[in-house]
Amino acid sequence: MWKKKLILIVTFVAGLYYFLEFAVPPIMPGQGTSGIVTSVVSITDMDTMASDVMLELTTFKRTVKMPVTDKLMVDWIKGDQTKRIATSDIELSTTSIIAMDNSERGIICRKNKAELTIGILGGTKTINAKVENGKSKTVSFRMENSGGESQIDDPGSLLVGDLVSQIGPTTYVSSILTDVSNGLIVLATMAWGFALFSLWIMHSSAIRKKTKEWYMSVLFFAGLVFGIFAGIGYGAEPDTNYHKILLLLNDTVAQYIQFAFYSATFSLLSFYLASAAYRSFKAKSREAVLMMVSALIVMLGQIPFGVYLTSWIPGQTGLVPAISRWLQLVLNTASQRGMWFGIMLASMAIGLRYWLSLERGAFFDREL
Amino acid sequence: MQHANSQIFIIIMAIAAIILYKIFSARSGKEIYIRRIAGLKEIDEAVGRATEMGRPMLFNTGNADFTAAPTLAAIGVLGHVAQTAAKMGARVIVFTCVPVVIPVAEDVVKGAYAAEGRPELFDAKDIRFLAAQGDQTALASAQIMKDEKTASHFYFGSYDFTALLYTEPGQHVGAVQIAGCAEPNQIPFFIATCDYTVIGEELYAAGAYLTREPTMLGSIVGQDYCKIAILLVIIAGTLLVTFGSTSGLAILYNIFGK
Repeated sequence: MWKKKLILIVTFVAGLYYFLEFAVPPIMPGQGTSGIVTSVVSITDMDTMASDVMLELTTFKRTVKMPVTDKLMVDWIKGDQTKRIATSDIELSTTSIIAMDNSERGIICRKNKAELTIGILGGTKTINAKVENGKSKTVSFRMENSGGESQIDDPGSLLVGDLVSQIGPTTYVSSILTDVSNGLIVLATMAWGFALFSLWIMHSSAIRKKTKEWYMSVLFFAGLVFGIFAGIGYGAEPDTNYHKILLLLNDTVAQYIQFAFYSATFSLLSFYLASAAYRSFKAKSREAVLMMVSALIVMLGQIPFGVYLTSWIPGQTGLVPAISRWLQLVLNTASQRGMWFGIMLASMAIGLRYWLSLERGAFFDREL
Repeated sequence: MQHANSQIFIIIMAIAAIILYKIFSARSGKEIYIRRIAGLKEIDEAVGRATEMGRPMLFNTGNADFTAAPTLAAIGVLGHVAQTAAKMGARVIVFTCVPVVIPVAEDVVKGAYAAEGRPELFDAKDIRFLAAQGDQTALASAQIMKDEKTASHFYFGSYDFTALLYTEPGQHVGAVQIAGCAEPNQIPFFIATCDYTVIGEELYAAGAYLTREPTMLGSIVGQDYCKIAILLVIIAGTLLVTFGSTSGLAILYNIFGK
């Protein structure tokens, strides 16, 4: 019973972490800031090769939104010149400053068809973007671009003039992201270890009891040992004879055996495709007829014969390719999206049931 | 790393609230109906067929480990298949290319035979790790089909291009094949080669359908309510675009577009 309780608690805590990290919006009062990068200084410690990135930002006091129209005029400062232009003529450029009515100045952060987002310039702020004291500290950045926001992990890649938002820990639990990821790697490795152990027991017992085809179990152990040595050779520098042998083993397994097997099995797909397609093209039911007709149109739409078929109709030369495209882009996309809605909702529901240990009737509900 | 914004957070909470409400109302004894899913209904028939023919069944849990939700759903289906097989005294061979699945599958099948009072029918050798890659596993499974003359095949879980490699040999040996997959790109291959295919979210509903457990049935109904809500938003968006209502579109954009 205690094992079950332990699993419930661990599952809940792990789920809570991911909920706080990804489902809760990044709201860190006083910690997140946005602005434009005015200076980037990277200092590398030659002993540890760890680098600190110092960012100087001109921060935004706030952002304002303006409708994009031909009628709405703003003062646009480019270099030393100021000119009055319509908001629809404004280009997205972080070097261009807009003079606001109340003597404030702002930078265009984002522009879409209907709206212009302007960051009102505030003071300057210096941020130590990466701290390396034997242990790296995760600092998240969101860089603004014309399409919206994107997350960047390397503060050193920021350039002067880049617009950034939400510098600092993105959520309350972001700082432990590395530790959690490492924990997951350990758990996954343990699971693989258990799996190997299970195989070990099964095959060793087969050899011991000399069951039918026990020699295949010997092959399993031989393959395992061979694979381990080949794996050690992965990426080895051929500086010693020992490493040369390991590298040769790795190449033999990965390049000359596995790759050849992989290509051979992959090529089988073409034959299987042909026989499966032949079977699908039998009009067994109404749905099968629909599938057959649509497949025929899609295939004809890909070849010149499809164009030739309707070439005698004036103005309808590309009718078959057009229907083919419509089938693929409209009908197929719509049905796939419909399926994805269902799949995603079901994934959410299954996640919720496991997180809150509501799952019943399945293996995971059993007493341990 | 992507994070939800405020609107998405509210939508997530609303979806979670609807699903949880339906789960708890189902648990309180409210009658729940879910539609008939052909593929799942035929599972018992397929097990029965194998039993009558005196041949074993094959079960594959897909190519993914337990970080993929379809694998969890597949384990639920495996439990049901193994229990039905145990009831009828039939043999199930489980094969996979994911070593992590082996101990769990072993425990599920062993538990199912024990629950039906037939622990002696369980053979650990019937839970097989064939290769670490899906394509090689598929080829090895084709050999099993030939050697063991399997009568019914079940493919539930997460699949990649290997879907066809798994199922096409099954057609050649004349077995009844039932598949369940949530990857839209692989579903056509299963439809072409299997007798019954459980499509997309039906795979996740499999556990509820087979066990009739109120919690899971309630969850399915909650999902359906959420789907209705999404459908209404799609219809509203379509109408607004069709009739060119920019103010209405702006409202939708403000909710979902940022």
